Amino acid sequence: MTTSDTRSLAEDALAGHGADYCEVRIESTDSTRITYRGKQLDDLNLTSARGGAARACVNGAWGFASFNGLEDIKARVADAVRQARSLSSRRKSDGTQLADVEPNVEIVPPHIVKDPRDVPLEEKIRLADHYNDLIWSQPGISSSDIIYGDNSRRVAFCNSDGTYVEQEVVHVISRISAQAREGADVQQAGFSIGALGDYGVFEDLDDDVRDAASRAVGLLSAEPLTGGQRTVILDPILAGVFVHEAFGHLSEADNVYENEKLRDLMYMGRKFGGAHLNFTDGGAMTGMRGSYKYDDEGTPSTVTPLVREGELVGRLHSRETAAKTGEQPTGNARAISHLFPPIVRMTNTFIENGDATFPDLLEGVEEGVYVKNWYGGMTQHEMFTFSSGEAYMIRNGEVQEAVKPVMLSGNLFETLENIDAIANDREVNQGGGCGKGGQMPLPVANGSPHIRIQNCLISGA
Amino acid sequence: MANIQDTSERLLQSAADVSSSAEVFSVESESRSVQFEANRAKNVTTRQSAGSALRIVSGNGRVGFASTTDDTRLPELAQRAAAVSEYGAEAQFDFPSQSALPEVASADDQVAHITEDDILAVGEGIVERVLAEFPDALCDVHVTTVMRHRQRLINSAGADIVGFGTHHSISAGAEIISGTDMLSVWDGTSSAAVLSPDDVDALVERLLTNLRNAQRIVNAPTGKDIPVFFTPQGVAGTLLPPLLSGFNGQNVATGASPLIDRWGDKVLEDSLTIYDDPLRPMTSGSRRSDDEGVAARRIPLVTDGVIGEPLLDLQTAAKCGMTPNGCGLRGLSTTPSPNTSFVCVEPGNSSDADMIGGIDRGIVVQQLLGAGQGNQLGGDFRANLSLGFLVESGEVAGRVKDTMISGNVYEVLSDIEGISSETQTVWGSSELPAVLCRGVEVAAA
Repeated sequence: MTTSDTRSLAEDALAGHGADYCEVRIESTDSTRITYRGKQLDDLNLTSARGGAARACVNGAWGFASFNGLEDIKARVADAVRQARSLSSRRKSDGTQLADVEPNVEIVPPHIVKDPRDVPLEEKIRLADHYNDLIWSQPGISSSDIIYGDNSRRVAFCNSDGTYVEQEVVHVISRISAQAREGADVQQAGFSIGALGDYGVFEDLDDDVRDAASRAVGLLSAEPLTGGQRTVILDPILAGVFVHEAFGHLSEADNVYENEKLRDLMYMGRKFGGAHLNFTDGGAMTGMRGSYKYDDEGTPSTVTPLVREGELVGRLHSRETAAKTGEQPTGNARAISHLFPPIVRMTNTFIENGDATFPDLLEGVEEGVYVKNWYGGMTQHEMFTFSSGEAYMIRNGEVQEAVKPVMLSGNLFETLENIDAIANDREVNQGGGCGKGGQMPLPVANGSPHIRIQNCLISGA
Repeated sequence: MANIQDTSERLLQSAADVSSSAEVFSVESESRSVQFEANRAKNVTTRQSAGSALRIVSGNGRVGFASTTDDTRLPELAQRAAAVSEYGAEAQFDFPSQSALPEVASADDQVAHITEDDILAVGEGIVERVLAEFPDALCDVHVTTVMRHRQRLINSAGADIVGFGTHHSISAGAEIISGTDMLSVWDGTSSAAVLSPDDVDALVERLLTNLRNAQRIVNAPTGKDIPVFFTPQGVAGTLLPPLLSGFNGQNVATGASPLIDRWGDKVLEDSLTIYDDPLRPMTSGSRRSDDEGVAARRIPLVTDGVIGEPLLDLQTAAKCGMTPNGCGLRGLSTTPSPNTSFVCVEPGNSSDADMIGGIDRGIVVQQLLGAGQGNQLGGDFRANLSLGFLVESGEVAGRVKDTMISGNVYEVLSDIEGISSETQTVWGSSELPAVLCRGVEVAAA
């Protein structure tokens, strides 16, 4: 479908909608997925999807209708409006409040470094196969998993304020992991990578793959740690997951906009830790997996300082949360696909560089744990957990033997206070996806320099 | 989207040009959900979706797969599947012919008749009852009805299986903030049939009980020899996922599962019996056959502590040299893989109250944060307790915070102290009793 076709389809569908606000998204995606499980290619999958969604707001109540036939979008718009209206009749209304956003009309081309769509399927398989062979060349390996995926998503967005935006994004992701076993003891080690519009990220991974394979075997003889509070140093990758979980989620204003008590706790200017704490999120930082020009409400992306010198200075917004908190929209309303309405999400989230070096962080640590790489993380309000993919003992300022990976846990109001040193070696992790409200995995990036946390609670292994 | 009947047949015919061995899986569904946020109805969502997936085995013996929800691209599906099959996985199976299937009730027409007003009334009722006792609470309620789900599987070996489903689920959460403490409690219930007022009552009662028990914050005992009482929700969140990953045919076929050479061995506690039961009527997993056309049956996973059989689809069964047992499940855009339908753990002898009454000092595990991260495949579990309680002298004494548990299911489940005689349906996908164990490490800040 051409731009003018799509635009007139969307504009016709919205004409005479009868709600306070209305929008239409029309989307198509194409995905490739290659899965190796064990010695063989296990799954190869080409998927295409097309669909759309209409969303309407009446007196603060929302109706949302998702569909995949494009024949009768006008009727789906009417459904969304009817749903919103019927809900608003039963709800104590505070009116429709949406922050003003200048109407934009733009066709945004994809960010491309090396387009995965130009790489023949055969070549992607050859490379995955090569990495799998590398894993199996390590003695002691019992199994392997390789997932490679790329997808392109084209979204046309049109709303009743006069915005019409078409955007295309191309993502590449991969997770490679190796397993080793001895009797019933099964251990695994791996890594994840990702990039916006760049197949190159999947190339030249030989060293990382060999390293994962040898770590998996090494874990069979690694000792488990006893749970409790310890001094930990996080590598930039795990510290990126940490800032996403420990602070990012509570920065999402949909947590606070209708929750007075939480708003009282998360007030602007609240001190969370030392002056070395500086956190930032922003879709307008270019070329990363959380980067885009407009969010899924048609709001231009921005860069939002969240914490400066230890104090809360900003949070992430949709048009509704911005209006209801009296703050500026930040362009953080994102939907994973046409099946879902946009909700407030992170984009690229960072801990900014400090003054120290990694050796500075190690110095003076009599006994601690150096945790690297990640399995995952999760947040529930002020509590969060995140899991390392690797862990090493630190004794007398030196990184020593590997121990079994651990889960770390913290509490927003204590753990940030306990960050006592931040290095100056910031790196970006683009291998993750974020889940919220059933929408998973949303492309995000996060990153940090090395950080040190005192008295961090870790699980036994 | 075009009628599923025509689409499937046309697609299978078009596949005949590229392969003599093909299968078409099509799904159509229509659902609605209503969301309450911060005590108020916020959002009504409806979804209509339909799509088709084509899987072929080409002349070179390899699998080709392509799917779409875009009916304008249906005509190219056969060519795309053929292109993929040049490199695809080696097919070690044949598509099955039509087999005799059991009858299993999986749909209730009445679900389609639930109105938005009905849903709103239920949501308002839940919010009202929570606020009556906890006026500071903020409640989120999520009610979903799948009014219509129809899927059809046809293949070149003559199988033609149509499956119907409906679904009604309610989940509810309440959050209370005091100082910097944020208490969050949630629960849910679901069925293929219309949920009854009794189902809703039971859900609200569980929520309220947990909120009452959580009002006082206490310190957790730490160490490795503490009795740990996993509620049915705790069992579902902590113990089942690592255990089931060992039974997954994919992990068995690759040799990654710790159970590969343990079938028929006594590995776990005598009192433990676990099976997957797709034949149980009116659950979210009720079905006559799997999504590859293999008849569904009850799968004994653990019987009196003895390891039963793995969960298999066509491909993993062939790789393991075993017979497919009807566990090949899938969404539209993925090839089938082994999965459970409705996991049941057989109840034991003592009531929840008696089991907790017998604990001198221990903890109750209800909700978890971060379970599933880590080396699940090896049987490891670890999580932060997002809702857990201290038991002292046989009584729940308060909520523990900033507390983590960790352990290994193969160790913990071979040292079970008790299994409850009461069971609960958890998230509509399992029926579980509470389990009391030792050997779980508890760490706290």
